[in-house]
Amino acid sequence: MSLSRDEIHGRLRALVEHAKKGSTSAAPITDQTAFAELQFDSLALMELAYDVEETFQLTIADEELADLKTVGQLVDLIEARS
Amino acid sequence: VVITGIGTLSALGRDRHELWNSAAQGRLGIAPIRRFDTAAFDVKNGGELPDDHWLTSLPAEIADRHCRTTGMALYAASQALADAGILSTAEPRAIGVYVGSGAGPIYALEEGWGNWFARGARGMRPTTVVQTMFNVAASIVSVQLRLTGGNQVFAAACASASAAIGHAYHAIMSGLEQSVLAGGCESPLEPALFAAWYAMRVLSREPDPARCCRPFDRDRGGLVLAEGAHFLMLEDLERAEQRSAPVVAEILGYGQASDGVHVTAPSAGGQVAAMQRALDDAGLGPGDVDYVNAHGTATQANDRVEAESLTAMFGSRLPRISATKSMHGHQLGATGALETILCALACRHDLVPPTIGFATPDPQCAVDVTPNRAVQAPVSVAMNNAFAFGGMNSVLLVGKPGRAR
Repeated sequence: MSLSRDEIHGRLRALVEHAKKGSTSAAPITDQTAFAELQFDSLALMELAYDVEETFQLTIADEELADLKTVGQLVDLIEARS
Repeated sequence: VVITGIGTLSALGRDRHELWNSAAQGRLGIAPIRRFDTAAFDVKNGGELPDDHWLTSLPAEIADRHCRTTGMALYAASQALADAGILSTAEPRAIGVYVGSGAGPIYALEEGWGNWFARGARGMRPTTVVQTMFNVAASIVSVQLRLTGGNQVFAAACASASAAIGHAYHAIMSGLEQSVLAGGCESPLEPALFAAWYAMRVLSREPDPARCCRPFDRDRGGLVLAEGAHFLMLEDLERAEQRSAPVVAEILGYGQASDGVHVTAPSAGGQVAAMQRALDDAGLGPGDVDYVNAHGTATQANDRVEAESLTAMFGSRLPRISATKSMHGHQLGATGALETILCALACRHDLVPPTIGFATPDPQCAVDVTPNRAVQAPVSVAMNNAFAFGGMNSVLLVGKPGRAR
């Protein structure tokens, strides 16, 4: 399965919106958006990673998750594997 | 130790005023269960929350992510804090959170283990642990309301909330805590847990909701499961006076004792011992008690043995007694908090709430249980009995402000 960057963005946006539930952040979700801006804590980031693994059928390693700072980095990771 | 705030959520009301109006009028909070299909059971009634509007006042991350019971606890605990006049949670406060629960976060457990059985290890979400840990309700209340005293859960089946309140009382008396939000939360109307209770053959099969839960009646047919969450703000009298907090009532004493006999069969020995220890703790005698909110589950065995215990404890001079589960059903680990609140409000209003649906006295339960109508009578000291599966008996004594020795 090969997905375009736009397709990845489209699917990821829904997952990020779901994971940031409860956050009051109104930051738009772009490549530059930092998860910190979205008020993600470590639990929210793990929930997002779980949904990404399920949706895109891939595995994110612990160290990769620890290094994820922006939405763009996550899109890069998905693009490289799908 | 005084009660300065009350938060409550059950079929009888979403705040202390609604609750007391319901209890004083003898309103029935038992109805056909709507939240899940009861076709597999010939037990149809429960004490269900009438709607889920309360959920909309919770933060989305709690309402959407956490167990129903955790949300119920946060709702009732927030209300108790506000009722005590503490309206801002911007700054942390040295208040403990002691929560009673018999089954814990049961919906989250059903979902978590359901994922395991359906998909194995890959089915487990990263937040399964924090949603299903038994202390989640106490933790979420502490975090959301920024309360920095101890937070913990007490599990003793139907005596859980009474144990939480009793231990909170002693923690304040000993100086371990300054103030504690103490209470309980439970929702046994989760279908798998309901099925487990059904299999035990203790649930009332009576189809008519108004005749379904009839404690101490000769024709009682068993207990009715109900959901609820209830909290009391307990604080040291001096501290309450310093901040000019309104005092509803006082906790006078707490006693607990185990039967040490059987996991479900009740025993008068443990019940009487718990009542005696509560009286000793309060420095009171049996003659000081004006009202007993009985455990009164409406099972044949409970009510017969409890009547025996009450007679052994009080002799021929029985206080006024009622079994309010006839109105609100059995909220298991939360029930002791609800009934302790009713005891506090009985002291405040000098009114004994009734045992509704009562028709035929049982010669084996020779106690007057204030049938069908509330009675206006002085209530200076009230006792709440909670006698649990597992053999734990917890008894709380509540009194009018200033009644403590």
